[in-house]
Amino acid sequence: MEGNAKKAETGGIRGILRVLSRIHHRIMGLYLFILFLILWQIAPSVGWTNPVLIPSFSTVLAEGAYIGLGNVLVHIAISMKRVFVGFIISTAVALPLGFILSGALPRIAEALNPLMHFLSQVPPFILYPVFLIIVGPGEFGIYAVILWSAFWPILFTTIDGMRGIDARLIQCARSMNAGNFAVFTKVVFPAIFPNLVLGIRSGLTMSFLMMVGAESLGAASGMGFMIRNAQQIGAVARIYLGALLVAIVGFLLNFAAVEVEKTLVTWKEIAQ
Amino acid sequence: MSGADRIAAGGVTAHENNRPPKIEIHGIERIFLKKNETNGAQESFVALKDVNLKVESGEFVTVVGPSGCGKSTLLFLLSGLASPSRGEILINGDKVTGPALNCGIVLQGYALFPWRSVRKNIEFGLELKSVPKKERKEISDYYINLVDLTGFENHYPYQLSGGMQQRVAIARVLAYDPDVLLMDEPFAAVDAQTRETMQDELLNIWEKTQKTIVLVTHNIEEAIGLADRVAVMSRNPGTIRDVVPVNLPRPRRIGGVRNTPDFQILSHHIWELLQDKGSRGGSGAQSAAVPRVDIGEHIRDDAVI
Ligand SMILES: Nc1ncnc2c1ncn2[C@@H]1O[C@H](COP(=O)(O)OP(=O)(O)O)[C@@H](O)[C@H]1O
Ligand SMILES: [Mg+2]
Repeated sequence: MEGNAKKAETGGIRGILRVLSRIHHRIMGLYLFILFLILWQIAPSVGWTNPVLIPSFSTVLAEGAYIGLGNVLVHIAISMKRVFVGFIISTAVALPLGFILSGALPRIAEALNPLMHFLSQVPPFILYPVFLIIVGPGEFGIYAVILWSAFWPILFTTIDGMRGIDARLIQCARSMNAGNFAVFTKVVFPAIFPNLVLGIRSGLTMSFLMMVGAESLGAASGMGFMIRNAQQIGAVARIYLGALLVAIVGFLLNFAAVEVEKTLVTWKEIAQ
Repeated sequence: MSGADRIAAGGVTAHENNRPPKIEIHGIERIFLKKNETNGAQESFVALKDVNLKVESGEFVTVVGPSGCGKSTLLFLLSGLASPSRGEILINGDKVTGPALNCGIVLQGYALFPWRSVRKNIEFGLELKSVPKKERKEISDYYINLVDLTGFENHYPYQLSGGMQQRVAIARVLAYDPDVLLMDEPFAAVDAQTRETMQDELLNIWEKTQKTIVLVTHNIEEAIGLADRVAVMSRNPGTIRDVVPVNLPRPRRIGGVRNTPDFQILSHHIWELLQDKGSRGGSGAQSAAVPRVDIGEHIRDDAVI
């Protein structure tokens, strides 16, 4: 009883400390991030690094202000449009293909397996010069790179997911008179849904990264172009600005994708 | 129709003699193509051979046998999920050609849909039958109550104990409301105490609904305690060795009959039937062929799957 009273007494202070430590834990990563920015800011100005090669954080921000927020946003928007269009087309092809291959044509899927894995190892950037030769400069090459990089993770996770479905679940549905359509919509699709979301997420991340590369190979707009263009005209701060933008957008994109995944996938696999 | 009405309407007394048997199994053979483990060649493996059995409407038949003797294979054939290589199965006098509305199976292991809540799992078959939503809820309510899962309607399988998952699986097939209930080792993976409760629950449900039940087990006590008749299987090739009638009183609770002399005699008899196969096949080298079937409580948990 006495112990309880004591607990209640110190509860207020302890409670506050607990809340503080919880906040502290949550923003732990932020401390390091802020430290990084501070270092970035002071290192060039106190002479630890060459300010020409590594301009300070504020210089980079000033460069952004010089270009204008609107222009920066336009570059970002153009890049994102490329990512999403490429990614959506890629998903629209890879998903059904994965279903058809592993669901309806398992033998063909097995036969194609080595070829698919071989092709997936072809670096996406190789496609750019190929498209440059075939269709000339322009958007095609960029889209080809994005399509290619999103395609394989989505296809492979779909096929893996299909392979991992517990056969008994399908048997259970069949024993209750389920036809092919019902088996697909009520068993196969929900069963591999977590895989699909994971595959789509990694496809999206991949296509974003590859988009930046593709744009820097040859585009007249977008974040990748911005970096490459800055390099050509020797605007060092602008290179850093572009890199910073890519990092921020990529981070947000991934964050959003993870959150979407968390809300969509509500059940867990039974640990057996 | 409420769940209670459905049960009343489905009620059929156990011993109506002027009907054809509910289930007739005629000369079933099931052959699998297997890869030889040493040379990789395809060879045929006779999983079931010359299986014959008749089950009356409302009867509770258990099938006991060592693991690998073809019990699951037999239930698959009964459920229409697979077809026999030879012979035929009739249910209500009609040849089984595929899954049918009058036959439901509880597969070995729970086989619950992990992305569906308890209620949604139980309503699965009703969705397939396009039962309207309101009626689905009434029916699932009834069975959730029946298997004592009230309060867990919205839980997912991963949040339930093994015994609870098994009850969901049973409720799911009951809600589908087939006249013939096939159950593949439904209590193998639950602890001894829960198992006995669930066995009694199943007896209770069976007495209320008068469904025809074929239940597979490798536990002799369970086989006798539940059944009107026990089909004893042997392996290599899998076949029904004998069908032993169980004349213990009904309504029955396992705990009430387990220690009676009649039960012990039956138990010993079935045990001998299972042993006998071992000595008949081998010439002295008996041990390797003796089927591993447990008496009483000693179910091996690893025997599942
Ligand atoms: N799909 C299959 N392909 C090949 N062999 C199988 C298949 N299913 C079962 N078998 C074989 O048939 C035999 C009987 O299996 P099963 O019916 O699962 O036995 P039980 O349920 O009595 O343990 C086993 O030897 C098993 O390996
Ligand atoms: Mg089995």
